[in-house]
Amino acid sequence: MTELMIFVGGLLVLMAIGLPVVVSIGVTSFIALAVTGAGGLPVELLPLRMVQTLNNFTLLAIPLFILAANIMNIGSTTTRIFDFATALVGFTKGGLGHANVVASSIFATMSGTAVADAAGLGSIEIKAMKERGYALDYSTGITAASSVIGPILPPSIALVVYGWLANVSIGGLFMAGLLPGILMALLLMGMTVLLAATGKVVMPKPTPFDACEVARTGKRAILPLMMPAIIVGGIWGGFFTPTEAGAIASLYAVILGGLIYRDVNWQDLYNAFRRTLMFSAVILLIIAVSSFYGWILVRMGIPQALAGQVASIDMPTVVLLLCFALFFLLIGCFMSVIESILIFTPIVVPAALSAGLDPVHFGIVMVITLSVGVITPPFGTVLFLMVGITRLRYGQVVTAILPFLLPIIATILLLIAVPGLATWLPRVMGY
Amino acid sequence: MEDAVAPSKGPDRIAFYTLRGLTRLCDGVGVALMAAILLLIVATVIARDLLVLGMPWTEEVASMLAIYAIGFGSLSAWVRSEHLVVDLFSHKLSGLGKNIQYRLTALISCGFFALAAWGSWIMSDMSANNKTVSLSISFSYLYYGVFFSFAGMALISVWQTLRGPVAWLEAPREEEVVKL
Repeated sequence: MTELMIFVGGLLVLMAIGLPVVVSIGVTSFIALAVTGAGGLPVELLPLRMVQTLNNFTLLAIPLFILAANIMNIGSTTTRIFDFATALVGFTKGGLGHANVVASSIFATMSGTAVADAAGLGSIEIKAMKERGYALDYSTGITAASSVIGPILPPSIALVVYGWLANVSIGGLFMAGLLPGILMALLLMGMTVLLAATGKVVMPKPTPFDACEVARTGKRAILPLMMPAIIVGGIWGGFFTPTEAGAIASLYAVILGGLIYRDVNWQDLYNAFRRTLMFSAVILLIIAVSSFYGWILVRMGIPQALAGQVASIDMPTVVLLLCFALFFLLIGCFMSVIESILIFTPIVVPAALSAGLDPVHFGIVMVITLSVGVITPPFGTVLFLMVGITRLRYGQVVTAILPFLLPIIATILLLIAVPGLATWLPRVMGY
Repeated sequence: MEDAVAPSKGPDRIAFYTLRGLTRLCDGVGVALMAAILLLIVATVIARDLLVLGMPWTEEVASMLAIYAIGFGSLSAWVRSEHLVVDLFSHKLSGLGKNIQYRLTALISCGFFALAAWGSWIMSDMSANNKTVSLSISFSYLYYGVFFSFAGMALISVWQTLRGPVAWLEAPREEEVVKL
């Protein structure tokens, strides 16, 4: 445990003094190697581990899904999805709140991250809700909260990284995220109903249901709506791997924006590729250096020692999973989802497995709890995005999100209590 | 950096144009590599599922191109200060404090990148006869990609340590690049 404290503590100290995450992980690893090695510093081990990690086809899913989301965000795809969601559920009390959740859920099945959802759909959703007379704090809260669905529904980037690190089927994890993602969406919509019923939030009068409008917007959105079916259906049907699904999704987004809707020009496309390159390079470099970090952890016997200690604790697996969830909720407040998964998966997964937890169930709980961090202070990325979009103060955005943390926490608790929510679908689908 | 105004004279002006040229080059090459990866994978799917034609070598080439794309992207991101940082207190520091912190982190980063570049060079030498399965490409080429990226970032870190923070390098960050 002392080694673990030094290892993780040293890393956190280096990050706290302002060193980039990738350098912090690398320096910690080199220090650990120098301290525990049998003399000398075999620096070639870092590039060796890095190339072994990056020379991996599965990880290419990350830039490809991010590329698909970036291309869709520059065209009219997101607007089409939101318009359809509005026509579909906008007739209910708090209709645009429901539309917000539905649109985010649909977009989540194409993008895979919370930030892509909040950045792409967020401004459209909040603008529309403001124009229809919804309170700005309510609009901000539901928009931010619904973005958390992004990393849960397939194709989740976080699940790709977890699956790769924990050696769990990524297709299986994608299927496992479906029900918890839908459950979270339903509970968020339930919260809107509750807020409307209790009069806590003043909501405008709903517009009557118009089947023609549903048909019209549905026709406009039919091609973007086919993308989730292509991704999930393609993987499940065995037509392509998750990485290939990312490439097909990107190509589909290019065809939609560039050839069919004609609202994406060459410059837009170049910018989307460039943004994807920056983001992916930063993330994949961290992943590569983290593999060296993980290798040293195993070499020092830290995960094995922790696994032994956790296995010796006499407590029900539900309580143990609850403890892990609380830990991840705390960690998620300070670190991004991917960073946390990279650092903690090699440490905690052996411990979780030795305690009898299912790796798929554990992975979904881990990703959901860490994802809550995007809407919690002090470093929630979506919080900063919302401040930028709404011009509200940081504190006001945090307050606006608070009621919506309840359905998210309820989803996590239900998921912990009922493992079948995560494990049933992959089992039925043969993963 | 694209929107920044170039310093009027002196070494800063040379540094500005050098770094801007470097980021544009890295971006251009990185984007071309990403486009190539995308086309390769799509071609594989089409060839396999529609033409019943196997192209197993594409995975190897795509992974190799990805290593170079990551290298170019990381270098460009380093110039633009877009690598992930957990900003706990630096925004609260005074001018002098920020200057010291900037130079200290640049110096530590430089040391790390130099060690990593050195390790990559050793590995490229050791792996000359270690070849990929499908196309028999030497692994040295993979390590060259890692080496160029780390060596480039080490050189830029040396400059950052010596020069300290400059306003024209602190371009506004794109929100998507902060955190996943």
